[in-house]
Amino acid sequence: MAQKSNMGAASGLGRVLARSGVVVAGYLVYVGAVAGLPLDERANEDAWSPQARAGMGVWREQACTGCHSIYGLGGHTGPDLTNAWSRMGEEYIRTVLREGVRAMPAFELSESEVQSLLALLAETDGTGVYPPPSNFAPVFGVGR
Amino acid sequence: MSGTMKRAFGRGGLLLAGLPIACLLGVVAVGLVVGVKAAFPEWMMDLLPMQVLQPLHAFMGVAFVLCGLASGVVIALRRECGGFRGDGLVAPAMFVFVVGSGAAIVLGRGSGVEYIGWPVGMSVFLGLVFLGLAGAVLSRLSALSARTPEGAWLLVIGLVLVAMGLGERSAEIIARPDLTRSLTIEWHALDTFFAGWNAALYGLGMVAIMRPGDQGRRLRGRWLFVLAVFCLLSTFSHHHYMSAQPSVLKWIALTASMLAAVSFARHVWAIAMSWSRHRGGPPERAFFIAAEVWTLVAVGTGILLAVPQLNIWLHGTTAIVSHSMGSMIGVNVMIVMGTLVRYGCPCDAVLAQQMIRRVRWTGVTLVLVCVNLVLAGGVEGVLRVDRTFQEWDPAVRQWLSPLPVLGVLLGLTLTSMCVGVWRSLRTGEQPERRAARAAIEIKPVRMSERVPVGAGTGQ
Repeated sequence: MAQKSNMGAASGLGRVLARSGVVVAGYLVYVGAVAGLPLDERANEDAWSPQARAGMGVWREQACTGCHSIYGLGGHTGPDLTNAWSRMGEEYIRTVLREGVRAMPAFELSESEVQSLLALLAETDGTGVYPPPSNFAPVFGVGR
Repeated sequence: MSGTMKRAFGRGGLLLAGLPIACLLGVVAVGLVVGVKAAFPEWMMDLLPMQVLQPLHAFMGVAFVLCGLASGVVIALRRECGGFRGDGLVAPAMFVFVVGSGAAIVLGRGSGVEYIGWPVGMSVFLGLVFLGLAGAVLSRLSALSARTPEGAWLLVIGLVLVAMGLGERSAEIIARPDLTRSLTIEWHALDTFFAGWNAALYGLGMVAIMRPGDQGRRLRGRWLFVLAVFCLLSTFSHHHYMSAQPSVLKWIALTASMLAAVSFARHVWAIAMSWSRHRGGPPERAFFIAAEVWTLVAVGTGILLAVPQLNIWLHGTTAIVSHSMGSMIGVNVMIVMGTLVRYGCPCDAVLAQQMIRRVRWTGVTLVLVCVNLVLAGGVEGVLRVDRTFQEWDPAVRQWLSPLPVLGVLLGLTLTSMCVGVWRSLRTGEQPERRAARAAIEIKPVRMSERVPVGAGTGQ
């Protein structure tokens, strides 16, 4: 009886390990897919300049996601900034960063940091439209 | 007090139980301020900036789950399998993580990304702690899988996925690829991280509700398992249908999200079948029943929100916040608290009634908060289509004006639950009561359900 119980436990152990291996393998396949599959043609990867990349650094250092989102991912206090570049324009964004507006405080950023953020917003703007212009918009994204 | 905790949970018991409860109280405190700021964003702008509050609130919530999971694994392994080498280091390590990361976020030295707002170095530290826990569970796997094969494998794979999700997110923060790729990796990593902690918590709950002599649910059949793995790993793309991520991932995510309906239907069936048996019993039962019901709500709303046209309408609004709040408070909090009560509280009918009341009131106030967030999110979804933020924001803030009051109510019920659990833990479980507890079955297993491990899996 005890031997049967031990065999059952060993069999259970083997299955747990085998199934855990399947999940980890599946995870690795997906990581490969996420990192390697070609993006939708709206996202021109070559257009991602070093300045925009630096802008992402400023975005994170200043914790912009506390209030703002891109493609709806982030905070809810301020507007989504996916298309801030085309909807608000460079001058408005500069003024808001310098002087603040409503619940947004003024930020003391250097000119190069402001330029980086503007580059980030300009290049993000080219990758699609968010929020969608209609509740009947194409399901998988709207190009500009 | 520490003697009682030590008897129940072993060395460092005070920190094992106290850390998750302290984190939950921290979430409540910061959440109350965030609730007021959601309705009145300009209130105390300089003293309480959302730049700090929002990441701190999210961090405290994540820290609660991670500390609760780590503590639960240590406690369960000590009580069920005699512990493991180095188990006394886990609680101090989590304490260092909470204090260090919290200070970094308050001082503006966090990573600046959602949910994983602590510095990248802390992720490495945390990942090692969870890999260590996974190793500890593996070393006791035969004992655990003899009791509950499904619980054991969920625990192992969940702990491993937590570490992998952390690794992937950290790699993205360091490498900083282009925006769309970054968004895709962000959600893949976060979904892996969340799926990991949920899987591990469900596994922990299954270990905790087992009585001596019980044979837990066997491992699922091969095809059901493949379906579960597929859904677990591939639903992340439904978080941003509108971005330019690879189209094939969106289609796979849509398919996987809709297939979750199978899990939903099975869960409804399981609850319906076991409902009549959900009466009386030990104090932890209220927490695990709440976790069952909120799992149903979380899966159901998750499927609805993944429907593309609904997703377009509600994505990025407060309606999504209600989905994650319901999951974290209704499922994660309940499993962690239920596990602490299971292993550390006296088993008597008066305490069970008290816990039922506290869990019920928490559930009621959580529903009210979620309804408010869904309504405000719905209004935002409608108005934002053809209006600017400046035009629709005041209307949405009006819809959110009940949130500070409802948030206070939710905060009070959660605090009351924490206080109730803490007081009961201080009373402790006496040895004679521990023996009496073994006689009470939380889920009676009928003879027909006692299937040998592996039988009927087609292998």
